[in-house]
Amino acid sequence: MLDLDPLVITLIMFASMLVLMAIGSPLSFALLTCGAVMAYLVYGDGGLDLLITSTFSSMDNFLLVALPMFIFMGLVLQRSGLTDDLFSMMHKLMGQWPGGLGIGTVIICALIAAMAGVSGAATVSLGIIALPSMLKHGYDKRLVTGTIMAGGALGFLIPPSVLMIIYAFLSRDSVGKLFAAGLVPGLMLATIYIAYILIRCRIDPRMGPPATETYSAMEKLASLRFLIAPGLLITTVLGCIIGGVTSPSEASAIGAFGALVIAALQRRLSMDMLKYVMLSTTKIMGMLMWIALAAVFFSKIYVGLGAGQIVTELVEDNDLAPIWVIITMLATYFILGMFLDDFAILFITIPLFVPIVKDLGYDTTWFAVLFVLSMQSAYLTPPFGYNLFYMRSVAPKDITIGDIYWSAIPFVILQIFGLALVVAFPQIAMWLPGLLF
Amino acid sequence: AACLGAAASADTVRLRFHTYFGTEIDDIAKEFRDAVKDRTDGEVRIQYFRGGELVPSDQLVDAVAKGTIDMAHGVGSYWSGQVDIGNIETGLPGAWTTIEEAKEVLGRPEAQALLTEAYAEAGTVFLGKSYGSDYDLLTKEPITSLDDLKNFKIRATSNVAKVLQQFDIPTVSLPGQELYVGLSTGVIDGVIYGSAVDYHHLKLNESAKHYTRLNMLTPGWTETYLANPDTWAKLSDEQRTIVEEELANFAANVEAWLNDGNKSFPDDIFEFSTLPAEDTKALTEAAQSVWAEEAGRSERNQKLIDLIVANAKAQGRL
Amino acid sequence: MQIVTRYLVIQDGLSEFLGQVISWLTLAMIGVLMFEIVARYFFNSPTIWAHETGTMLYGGFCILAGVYTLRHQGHVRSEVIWGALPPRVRAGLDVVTFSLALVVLAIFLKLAIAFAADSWAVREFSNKSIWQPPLYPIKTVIPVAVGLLLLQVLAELVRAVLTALGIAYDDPRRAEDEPADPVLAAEALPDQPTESTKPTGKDNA
Ligand code: NA
Ligand code: NA
Repeated sequence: MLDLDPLVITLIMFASMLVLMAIGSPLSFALLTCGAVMAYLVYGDGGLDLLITSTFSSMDNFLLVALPMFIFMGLVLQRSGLTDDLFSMMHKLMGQWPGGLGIGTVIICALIAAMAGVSGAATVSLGIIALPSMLKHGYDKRLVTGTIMAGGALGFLIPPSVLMIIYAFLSRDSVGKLFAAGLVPGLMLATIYIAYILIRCRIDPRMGPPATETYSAMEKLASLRFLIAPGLLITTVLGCIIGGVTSPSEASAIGAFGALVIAALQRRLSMDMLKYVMLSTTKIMGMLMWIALAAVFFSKIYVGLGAGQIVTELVEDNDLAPIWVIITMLATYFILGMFLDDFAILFITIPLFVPIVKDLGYDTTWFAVLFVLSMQSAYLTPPFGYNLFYMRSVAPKDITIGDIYWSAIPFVILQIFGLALVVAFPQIAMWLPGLLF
Repeated sequence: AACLGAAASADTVRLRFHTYFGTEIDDIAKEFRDAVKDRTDGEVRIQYFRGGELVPSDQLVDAVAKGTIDMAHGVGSYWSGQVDIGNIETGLPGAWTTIEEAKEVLGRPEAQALLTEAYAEAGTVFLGKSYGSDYDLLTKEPITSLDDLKNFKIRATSNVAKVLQQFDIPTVSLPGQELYVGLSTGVIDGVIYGSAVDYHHLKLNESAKHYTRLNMLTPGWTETYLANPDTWAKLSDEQRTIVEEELANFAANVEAWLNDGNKSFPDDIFEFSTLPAEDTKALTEAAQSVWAEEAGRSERNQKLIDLIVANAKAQGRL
Repeated sequence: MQIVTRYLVIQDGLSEFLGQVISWLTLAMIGVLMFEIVARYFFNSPTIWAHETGTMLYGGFCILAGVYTLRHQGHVRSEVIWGALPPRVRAGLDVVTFSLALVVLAIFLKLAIAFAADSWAVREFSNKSIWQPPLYPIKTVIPVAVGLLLLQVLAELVRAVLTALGIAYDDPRRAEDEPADPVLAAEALPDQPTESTKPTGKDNA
């Protein structure tokens, strides 16, 4: 058993993990391998047993039952043609305004975010449906791809949110409270995007020319029917959680069941679709669970080696003003977000950061919102950003990867602006939970 | 960071001490760590981990046995699925009504021998116990009798829930972190979770103000201290004595913090009331089936239950 | 090399079969929780078992699902550097990755078997609610899942070794994971979104 300085431990653990990830190891395997090597060489007796403890505690938590349910629900809705319907509605209602389709896209993203627990749902489906349509209408390709990627990232901020459920699992916050705290910042960010599109299109109308098709008032009114099903589902699920009718996990089951009912009513429910949804949920949850148990194991080994104290001591020794500690953490998130998966960042940093946030006297619910806001940017910052990957996989050939990277930049700046607002005015996040609970 | 590294010389023993408490007792823990370090000239260092930091509270025994941690401070009912005696030593409804009584019963040599034996079987060294505090009901609406509870959903765990069920009182199990939102939104109407200090710590008084003393079980829980046998054997006799003495201090401080806090609890935060004596008696009687069930799990459990029954009879409660 | 192909077909088939079977647990979870909600609100008689059953279904489902995820190459990896390398170099790096994983999973399997055996030995039960169900069945799922994942990792290792050495073999999975043309993918997506959005497979929800 080696006796190492916490700083050395930190360097070895994180450097070796980054090396493994660089050579293309799946994240879960990289975390498992580094954790196991450190456990065997440095921890002493019983270090490896933390692997089994971490596994069982990741399996044995009622909160987490909501994860597959919300993913299932999102997949059903995606496959039931909901995005097509919503986009055709937005086209009829707002197409003739400059930038109207872009604004409609942000609104659809917010609606999908309120139904799906993960980010990326909206990016993929709008990338297929809205992207070609907006390009055809002469929209600027960078404005369009940026809008879809940024809007798609809202999925984790606007409740329900898988990321928040796992945060709550690690920080022992209430899921309902976190959900309530994410709602206003999510809507605020959507509004910021809309304002940005309006301003860009006002300055240069060629960015988002009005559509030439015209629709009668009746047609417009009739298209609003597409809001009924998602409206009902959103109200029911969020109402159950925030209104305290059921636990979040039960509400997630209602959401999944409700999505199946909606698909059936629209005659889009089939055995093929059901199998696709079930198997995709299986594939996603297999990945999430193995990252979860590996990352919990990795971070427990790290904390157990006494290296977790290094973070606390750095904070104490440097005598930083509390708000600078928070800003440093957020800067760390921004940099990690360029290279790492959001769940990896969550599992590795939250057990270290949350006790410090508590010690400094800040509300951990507020910090949860700051964290999720930071992860919004992580989805858009190269080189590792999910929405960049999604966009690349669905965008037509004449949109280069360079276009996609460039298109993300203004939206990342807007996200940082939104984050700064919530740092400066915590009430943006805390007002709704304060009002409700 | 630099001092941590430099001080870690070859003959320093680091003990991973894992409590089930969150941040509430950080000051007491710091005193304990400093005292052990000073008295052993820095040869024994306590590395302190809060609830859930390394292992979940229900896996503390396993973690001590395997050497993942060296010492644990937890509650028997969390791991009663693994250690037969866990529920009884934690406290069954009606088992005792004062801390002195609990200390007297569990402090007897026969009881200590049973505990030592049970934890040795689980691969750990039993170091001792400390005693919790009040364990009462907190509700959103005032109650005057058990009958009032029939339309309430009460969050209660395991053995208390079993007793309430005999009175047709619906119980729910909900994790501690959901209590605040659960009460404020009405998922539950009341909780049986701990004492006024605990409820105030969770800010439950913001939505539920009515604190009803059940007089069913005081202290409502007891705590157990365990060590890994190999680690414990590696310490010198002197070091062991120091750790044991400081652990006793730590236990006494935690106990005092809870009980002093509850005794001097400001009157204006909760509305305090007490359950009628006949209801308390009915609860104790209903609890007998739970006592019998626990006794049935093993011969050892039967022996400990016999001790508790004898005591209850001597006190005139049975 | 026909024997390798046959081995891969069997191994992939096993993981595929597992995934197909456990995918039904998603509906079981919905069913159990909906039953609880209906029982509580419409019949005013909450169950004592729904929450813990739901949790056990969740835990068993997710840990087993990892095998299916690997068979479909769905465990998220960073492709920043790895993806830019020539296929044989990538395969060489995969040999490192999967060999390490094999060792770690072997240790994991040993620990998981001991963990489950301890639970069987004391006939461990849960003390979270008054239902007090036995815990050894769900704890037994862990070694099963780790063992099955180990087998699939072995198949991945065989593929990587052969590719790295430049030995030609017929990979039964090849038809599935042709890198999709982005334009074709976009058109095909409404019907077949799984494979074409594959960079991560995480949240194509
Ligand atoms: Na969402
Ligand atoms: Na990124």
